[in-house]
Amino acid sequence: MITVKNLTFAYPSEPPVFEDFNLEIKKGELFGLLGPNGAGKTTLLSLITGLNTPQKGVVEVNHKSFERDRSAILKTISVVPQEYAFYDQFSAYENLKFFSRLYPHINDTERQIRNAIKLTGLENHQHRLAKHFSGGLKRRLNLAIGLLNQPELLILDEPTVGIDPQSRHFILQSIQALNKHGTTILYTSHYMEEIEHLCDTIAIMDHGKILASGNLDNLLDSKARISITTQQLLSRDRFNPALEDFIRKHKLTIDDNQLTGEIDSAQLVAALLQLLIQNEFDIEKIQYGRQTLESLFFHLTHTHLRET
Amino acid sequence: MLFTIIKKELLLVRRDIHALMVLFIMPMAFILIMSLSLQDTFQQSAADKIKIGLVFANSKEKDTPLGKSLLKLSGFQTLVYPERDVLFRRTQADNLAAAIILPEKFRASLQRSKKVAPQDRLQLYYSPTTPSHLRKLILASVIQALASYQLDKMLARMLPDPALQRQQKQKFTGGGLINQQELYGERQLQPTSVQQSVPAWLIFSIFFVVIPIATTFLTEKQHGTLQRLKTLPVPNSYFLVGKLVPYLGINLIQTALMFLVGIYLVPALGGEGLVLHSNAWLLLPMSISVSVTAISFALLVAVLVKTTEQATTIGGISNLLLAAAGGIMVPTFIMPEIMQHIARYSPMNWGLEGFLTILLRQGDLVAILPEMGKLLVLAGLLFCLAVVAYRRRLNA
Repeated sequence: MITVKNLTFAYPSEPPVFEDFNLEIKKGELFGLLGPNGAGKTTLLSLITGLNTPQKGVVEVNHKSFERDRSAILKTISVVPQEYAFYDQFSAYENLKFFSRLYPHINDTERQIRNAIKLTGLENHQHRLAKHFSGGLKRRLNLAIGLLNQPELLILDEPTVGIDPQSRHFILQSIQALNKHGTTILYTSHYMEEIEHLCDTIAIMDHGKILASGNLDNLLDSKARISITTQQLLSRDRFNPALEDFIRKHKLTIDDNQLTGEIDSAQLVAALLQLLIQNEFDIEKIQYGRQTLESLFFHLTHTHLRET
Repeated sequence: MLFTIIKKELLLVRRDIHALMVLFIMPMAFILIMSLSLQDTFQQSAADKIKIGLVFANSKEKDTPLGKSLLKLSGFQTLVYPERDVLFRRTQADNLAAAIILPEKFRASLQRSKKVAPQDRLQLYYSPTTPSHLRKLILASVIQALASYQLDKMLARMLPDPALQRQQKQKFTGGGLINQQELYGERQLQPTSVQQSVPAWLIFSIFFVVIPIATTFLTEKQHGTLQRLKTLPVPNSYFLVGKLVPYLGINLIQTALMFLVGIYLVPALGGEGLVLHSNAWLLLPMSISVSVTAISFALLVAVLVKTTEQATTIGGISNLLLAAAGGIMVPTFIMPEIMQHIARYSPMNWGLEGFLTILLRQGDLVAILPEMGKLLVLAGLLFCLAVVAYRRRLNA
């Protein structure tokens, strides 16, 4: 559905956001895009929706490029921005009517408006001015506008920010329903549990690079995470060559009396424990198991705070 | 599609009470207030209302030819007081611009060939608030009255026939020598208060589209609506044209309304009504020129500023400056020469001069072309700058 190949993009007089960047999103996927602030997510979305033009490389939607088929692409995609991108002074119905009339290919706008209202549960609020809506209703209207053209690709940028749990649940259910009916969805969110709950495929990006991508289950299962706390400080001068080799081979991290890293099997965990005991370390605590998306995210992007 | 964008813009304005106040109520109020309050100041016969106090030291002098001449001081209203102290006390209350005290021996001293003694001279006092040009006018009128009296005396001595005296006097006072005419047709060139106020405040309000245009544009930008619109299959040009067309319509409605206020409402409230002559249709191209310039300026401001507060401040201040310098708030004909020169650089002044050419100078399309041309060139320049800045901002 979306093909990004060898993409290079930089804002004027700024270092490149992307250099030789690649991404593939298949038709029918519910794809989660994760990354800390400043990772390049918004820029990537602007390139996929044709708001920005890459300096090098290819961005294709449904095998069509913006250079040649801009209008055709825009008819089949829809973006639901993070902001409440509609007119506060209009009612929900007036907003939907205005946006629906900007799609030349929609013949029966009234039917499309009715569908969007039904899907987002706005039936009882359609004639109220949007400025009187709660955060949850505003999010639902924002989504409803994005559904007007029955998009093949729906891009959702943080669609559940700042709303109550009920509205969030309703929106997530609607997104799942849309995906089941064949809509490809590109979903960005800071809420890891949402991505974990919704998406089959994810990509974690930072500094304009994909750090990990693929099937979510495979990514989380591929390497289980271990954390061993010892009573003594893990001083390297107490390590015998076998322990030293093991730590180096499996890229484990030592932090005071804590040893952390990814280990594929339980046998290797047992071997590590044996080596630690041989080196006269007393084990205080062991944590081992499938990692969460959050731990994977922090592991890949590091946990320090970003200024941007 | 373009129609949908235009309709949206009109609906946004219709629901914005502040925009409606700025675009319609403010100029109507200005036209009414300024037309009514400045009515006398603008009238050429305004001098008739300027009062001059008179004291005849000898009350019998009132009935002499000199006394009568002073009582009918050309172009002024004269009030007679019994004595000097009374006059001085009443100066402020009676709003006197000047006071004349005619000493008892003044007329007698005129008969003599000797120099008139200071205490016998006519005493002319000015109020501190009387401007210098009015002082000169008062002095000239007094001199004219004295000269007329002296001339009568001379002619009476020289010519026994009263008819001949009148004939000769007419020659001396220029009656049969000077033809007074208006430069442009039969009407006076200097506008009346309503002729000045209607186009002036109309132009001012037309330029105030900067606030609703910039506000809606920035709200669209800040709310991500503009980004969302850009991801719809709509040509880019529609977004700018979609702002230009509805505001052009709004400006034309403003023009019609403000002229109707001048024609019907101002006279209904006791002011002088605005009279449109046969070339009234020229108001349309003139209004369009002003409107297109104002909208282009508004679009540029909308694209360049980052917050609605900036838009309101920059738009409001620049409008006030252009209006103050351009003869909108103070008519250019009472400005000093340097300010009149500066006024020529304000697009509001170009618009005002265009309207005044139609209203006062019976100008045709050719006559207003220079002003229209200047406005349209500026509009084109501002629109191009707005488009360039818009594209740059989108890619930033």
